[in-house]
Amino acid sequence: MAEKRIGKVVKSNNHCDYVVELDDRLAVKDPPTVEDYAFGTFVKLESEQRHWAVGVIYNTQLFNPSFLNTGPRLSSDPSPFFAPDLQSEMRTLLGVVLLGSLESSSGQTYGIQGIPRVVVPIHTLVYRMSEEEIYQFHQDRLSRTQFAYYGLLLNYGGVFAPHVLRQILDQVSPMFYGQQRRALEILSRELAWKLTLGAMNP
Amino acid sequence: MSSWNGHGEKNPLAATVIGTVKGPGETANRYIFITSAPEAVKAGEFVTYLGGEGQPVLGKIIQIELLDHLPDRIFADVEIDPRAVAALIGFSEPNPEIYGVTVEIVGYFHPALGFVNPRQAPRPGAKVFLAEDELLRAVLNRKAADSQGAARLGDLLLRPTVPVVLDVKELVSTHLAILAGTGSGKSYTAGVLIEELLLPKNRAAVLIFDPHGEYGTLAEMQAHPAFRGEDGYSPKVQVITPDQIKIRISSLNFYDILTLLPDMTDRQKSFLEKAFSRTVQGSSYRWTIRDLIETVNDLDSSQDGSQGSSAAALEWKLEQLERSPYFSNHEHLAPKDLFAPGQVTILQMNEISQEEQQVIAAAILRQANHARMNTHKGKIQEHEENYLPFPVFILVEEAHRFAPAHEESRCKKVLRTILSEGRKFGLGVGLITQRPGKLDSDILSQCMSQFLMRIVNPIDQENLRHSVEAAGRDLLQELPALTKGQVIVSGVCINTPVLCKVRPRLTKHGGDTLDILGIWHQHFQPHHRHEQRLKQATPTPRRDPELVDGVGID
Repeated sequence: MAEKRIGKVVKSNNHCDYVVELDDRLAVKDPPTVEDYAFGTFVKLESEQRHWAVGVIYNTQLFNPSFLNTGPRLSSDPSPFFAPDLQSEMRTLLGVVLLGSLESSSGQTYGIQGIPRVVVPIHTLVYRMSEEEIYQFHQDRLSRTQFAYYGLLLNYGGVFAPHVLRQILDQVSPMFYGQQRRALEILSRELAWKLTLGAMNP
Repeated sequence: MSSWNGHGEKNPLAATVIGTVKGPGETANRYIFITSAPEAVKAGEFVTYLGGEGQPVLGKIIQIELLDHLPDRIFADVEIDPRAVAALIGFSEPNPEIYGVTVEIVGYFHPALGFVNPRQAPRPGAKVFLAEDELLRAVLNRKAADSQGAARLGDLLLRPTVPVVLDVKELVSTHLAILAGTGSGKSYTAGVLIEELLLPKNRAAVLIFDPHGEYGTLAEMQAHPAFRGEDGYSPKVQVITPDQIKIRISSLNFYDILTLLPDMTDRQKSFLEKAFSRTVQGSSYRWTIRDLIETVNDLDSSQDGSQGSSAAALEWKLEQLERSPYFSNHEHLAPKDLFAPGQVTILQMNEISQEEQQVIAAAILRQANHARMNTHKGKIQEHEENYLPFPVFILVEEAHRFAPAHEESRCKKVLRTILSEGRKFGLGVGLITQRPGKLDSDILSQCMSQFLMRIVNPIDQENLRHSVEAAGRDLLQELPALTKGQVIVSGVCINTPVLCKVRPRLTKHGGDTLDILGIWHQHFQPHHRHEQRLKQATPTPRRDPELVDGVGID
């Protein structure tokens, strides 16, 4: 899957919780499709100079200033040609939590998981990560599977954190084999219990 | 660190550190330490920390609790190591679990006072050491293993290098109790104790009431090289078989006789009591059953001289008693026959009925008590039968029969007297029972040294909890989990309660369970089968007489 730009950083809530504004058809020629910015999608924050961080979409929000603005209008539908600014006021915002970064040395790319040290600047571009990159991110320098952002995501991933995690596990598990895959499935089962039966008797 | 209470210069920092103190525990004399290496932490193990003045404060591990642990679901998959899952989510420490270990403080050792509780919890962060063998050897036992008055029962269960040495003086003068379920090795332990008492360093005077005939194998001591002293000492083992037991009638009291006789009416009892007191008071010599029968007849006879009905019944019953092989008018087992230093006398009472056992034991105990008391006070001279110029120790097997909890028995009163007063005259008693719940709790609480072995019965355990406080609750909880030959020793014979593995016996053990399967199999061995067939075979029928000319020749 090709590298797909999906938006840019417009704000942050804290050091690892960023708000990304989704590109629309007025901003880019080829705007992202709904699959590109789905809940639980891995993204990388990169500018032309460098790679900043890897994150995951843990929340989305639709922003619409004209909501409840039901004043009298002459025409039933606003014309995009005569009022383009108003049209582009409508936004989709993506909540992205940073989980680490990708590192390359001697031809090998691997993930460094945990809160990144650097501060990602405003307007940094956000790309959807390829399957290959996701796989690389879940391997450490010695090519061992890692899932060390589990605790980080569970604590800072907002109200849907366990659900994001579960979705990620479902997405990531098939990339691995044998013991590593089994270990990931155990984590997935633990979460499944918490979300379903565990929720019945808190 | 200067010294360890006079036990020699020692740097305790060289000892193994097994954890770090977290703080005080639930009660004032407990503390909790934290460790992530559970290998060295065993329940019952002795540990130390350095007290305020640098002295090691001994404590015992009583509980181990897992504080931080991996989530349960990680353990659910048997094919994957939980640590691999932990490492996957970023936790790669080699020992992920944290244990909180509760320690009961025993105290620091003072040569004169024994263990002194520091009444102060260790400082959080203090290091906890595994108590060194050398320290344990010096502070747990009151005596060195080979010194006079020492009895080496065995070794610490968790430290086979540390012997458990008991103080014989305390052991035999303040009484002991061996409490253990069936098959847990109580007579084995008693055998080891007897062996220790008879070693050249101790040379005790011991009597064993042996209702099952289990102690006969102790006779091997006489020829065993380990028991031979440098001065030519070797222990004497006197086995008195049931047919050798003779108790003189005149040494019995009224209630003894009442116990021996079958059921009696109130009228008969009253006649017997009157007759008894008249016979005993009226005679300056040793009275016999015949004297008693004559007095009964005198009391219950009508004016024409004919015998009353009660007298007739009593006469018949007393004559039965006269015929008993164990009670005699003249023959008697006197203290001098039963006791001598360096001698163990085994009174085998198998084959004897329970009532007779009671009376025999009561008579012997009472007589030994009087003998010791009067000899001690100087009331008896050397030539007299009851002269007993040395302390003695009496071991009672199946003690719950002789001192039952909720019923009267002949022995109980005598035992109670001996247990409360015997110490002053040097008369010690050891009680062995497999049913502590059935043993009189007053009597049990008078035994100042206790040997507790595996007990599963909950009633017995409950009874022990009330009567054997010295062992401590934590050790009593271990009772059902002990295995054969493991014993909790507590009381005055040792400085602090310990879990001990009884040493192997020098002589053969006599109380083994019957080899049932062996005997069954033996039945089918070829030569046995042949013998059986021979026994069962019908005799060959007589041959018919031959006929010669039609006439049979027989």
